Amino acid sequence: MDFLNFGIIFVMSNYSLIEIVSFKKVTFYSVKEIYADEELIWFSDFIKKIENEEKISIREMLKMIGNKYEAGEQFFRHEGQAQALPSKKVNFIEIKSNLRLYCLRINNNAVILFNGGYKDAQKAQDSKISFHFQQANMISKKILKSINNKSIIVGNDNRLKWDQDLII
Amino acid sequence: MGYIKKGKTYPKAKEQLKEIQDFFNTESPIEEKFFIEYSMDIAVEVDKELKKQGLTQKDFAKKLNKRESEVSKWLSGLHNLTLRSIAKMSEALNKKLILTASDAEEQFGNKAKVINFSTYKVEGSPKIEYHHRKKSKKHIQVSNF
Repeated sequence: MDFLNFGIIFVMSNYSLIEIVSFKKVTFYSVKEIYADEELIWFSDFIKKIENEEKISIREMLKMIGNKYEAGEQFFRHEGQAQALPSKKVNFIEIKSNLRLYCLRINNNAVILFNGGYKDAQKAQDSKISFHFQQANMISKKILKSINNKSIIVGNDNRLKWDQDLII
Repeated sequence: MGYIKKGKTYPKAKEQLKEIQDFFNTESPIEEKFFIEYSMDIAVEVDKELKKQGLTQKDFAKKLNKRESEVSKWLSGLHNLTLRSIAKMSEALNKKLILTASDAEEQFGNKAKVINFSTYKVEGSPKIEYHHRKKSKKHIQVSNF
């Protein structure tokens, strides 16, 4: 749906959840944005933007969390309603301190990875990645609401279940 | 407002999913893997021990005779940890943070030799299985693949 507002065309997308990878202890999901015939998986956009060194660190970090540690709170930093990787406390030497991968930690075994990038200002809101910060917060609210109204169900195994047609 | 730009064409979601799978399937250089694993293991161990002993990062800094900002750097990855700083942290926590393979063998006997292999798969891809070495939580063991 488009609507005209003072001459600027805003694209109103729909969003759905998608499972992207499942490790021994954690399943990672992402958000699929849908507009007309176009689709964009946010995490796919994120990995295209980051530098090669960081790709290795992000990959290994997610694998370690997924296979060895589980997604404990200590690995995440709070970013409004959402969270981001890496955390301030438990961090990894090769990741630049201004890199943010916004996400939503549902529990120790389910994490939804959003988009992100390099933060170039003290506050995420003032940075070039502020759009991703805002989107992460917007979608986190929607996802948490969907969990509350049982459109998304957290199973006994802590994995997420939802109707394939679900638009968040 | 969404992130999709009007007029721009994106690869199909299936292709994007394949790119994500390729991202996770790519083997990182072994040295980098060890480096990240050690960094993470030590940071996690310190964090766990601080919680166990009911210490804040401020208390920990005091014990180390360091400024909180410096200790925060040690644990935040802005600083490349040296053996010296790991030794200082071990002293402050009264706990050995790293056990060599020989130490572990001596301490845990045959249990330390047990190597478990676990597998994980990437959803939606042809079934490719990866072997991931599960180590004892109590030691870091370096061995050849």
